[in-house]
Amino acid sequence: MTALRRPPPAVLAVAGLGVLVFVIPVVALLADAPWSTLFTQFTAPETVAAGRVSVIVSLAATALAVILGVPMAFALANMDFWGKPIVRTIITVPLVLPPVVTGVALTSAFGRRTLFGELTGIGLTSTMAGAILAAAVVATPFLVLTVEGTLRSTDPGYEQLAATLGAPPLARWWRISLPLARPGILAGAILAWARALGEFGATITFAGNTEGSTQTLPLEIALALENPDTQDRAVAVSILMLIVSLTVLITLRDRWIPRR
Amino acid sequence: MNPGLEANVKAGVAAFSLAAVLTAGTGTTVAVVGPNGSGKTTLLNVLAGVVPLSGGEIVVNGTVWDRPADGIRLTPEQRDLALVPQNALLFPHFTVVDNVAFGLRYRDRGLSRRVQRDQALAALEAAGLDHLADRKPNQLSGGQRQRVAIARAVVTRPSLLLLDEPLSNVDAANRHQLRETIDQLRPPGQIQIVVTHGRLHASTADQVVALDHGRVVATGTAEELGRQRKIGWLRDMLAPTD
Repeated sequence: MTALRRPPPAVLAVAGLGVLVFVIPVVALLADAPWSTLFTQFTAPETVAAGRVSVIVSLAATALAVILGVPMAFALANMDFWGKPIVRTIITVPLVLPPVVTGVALTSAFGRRTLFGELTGIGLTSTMAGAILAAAVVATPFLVLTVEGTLRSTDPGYEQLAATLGAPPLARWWRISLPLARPGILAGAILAWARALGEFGATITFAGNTEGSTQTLPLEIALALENPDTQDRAVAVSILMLIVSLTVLITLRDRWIPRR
Repeated sequence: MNPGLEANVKAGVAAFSLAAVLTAGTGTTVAVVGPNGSGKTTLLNVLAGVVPLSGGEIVVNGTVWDRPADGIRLTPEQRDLALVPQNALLFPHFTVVDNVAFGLRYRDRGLSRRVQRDQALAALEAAGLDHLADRKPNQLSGGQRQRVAIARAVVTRPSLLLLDEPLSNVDAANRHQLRETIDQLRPPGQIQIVVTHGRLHASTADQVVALDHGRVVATGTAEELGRQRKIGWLRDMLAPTD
């Protein structure tokens, strides 16, 4: 980093302003916190139940995102096929679509009054499986794009060389391509997990807001905020989510993502 | 069946086109020389099956490896060969010994893991690197990586060994040892195709093929090509220095 590359003061001033936009809400949240009752808020039965749902839903959604997203990323990065731009657009559209629309679309596909709903008897609405699916759909694009980016920057020579040493396609993928993509998969999984943990719109639209099965922490916050008696809990749970997110992001970054 | 390599290759990579004829008897070494961008590496990639032929054929010891006209094209893993790329390309997540053992697992399926490792260690020893067996590639110098890449290829004892400037990153002191390693692990009948910039490697080859702009411009022994008067760069490269 040379001094000549240092941005001019005007640019730095705007950058500083940008940082403030992120810092002020966090400081305000901390200032609003009901510090004396914080721990009791954390251990309130509703919070514990929502926390449990959030952990299960976000981890299951991340697992689903990895299992389905990694093969998709490989196909998009290393293959040319007809309709590839369309496929990529469809996979990544949840990034720009309002989550509530994703929720409506999921209801149309897997709700009670659909073919799927009739075949299964209930459909996925108001079930934890529905909450997991909603979170997975909005989270997977983050994983696919991250892994695809890693794959594009990987030297194709490694796989070619493995082939000249006799390794058949599946062995090449498992022993060479996949391990080389590991940093991207981990980074993508962390992003997907963070997105799944914060998921709100698609979940409430598709899976509903049932305590113990589909009410995640963000849903509990929204619900608590509506009632003046429980507004303190909304702030407390928000702080809890902030702490969890920051802790996980910081520890995982340092441990698993190699610095370039 | 005709033993040896008979290749008449036509291939295009982006705007570059390669059209070359190459023959080599069993047990012989062919040095491929030429200026940068003359198609040397593409020729190796075509033989390895990494770059497809658009015309012509590759026949090795009577087996057709590639013949687009008949729809025959063996994948790289189906060809009895090994390749030493110019930039080593050691698998970064494997240790040195696991890199060397990689091909044994697929080329010689009867071997137990233990024997694979022993053979890999023996090849490393021959390359003078057995003390680095458990290191990761990023802990090695460029020259050491190149030597591991050579051990990884020669240990599988292929019928066709392709080497892309194998000694370019290796200092003079180690070149001799490395040449010996390549020879020591050379099974009877192995054909070696060596892309080289150096006179040393070219002069010990049975035959030198000079490429320019994707075409063969001269073929002969190093001595013959060092004496010819038509192609200046080739004479400069191969003419005896003393």
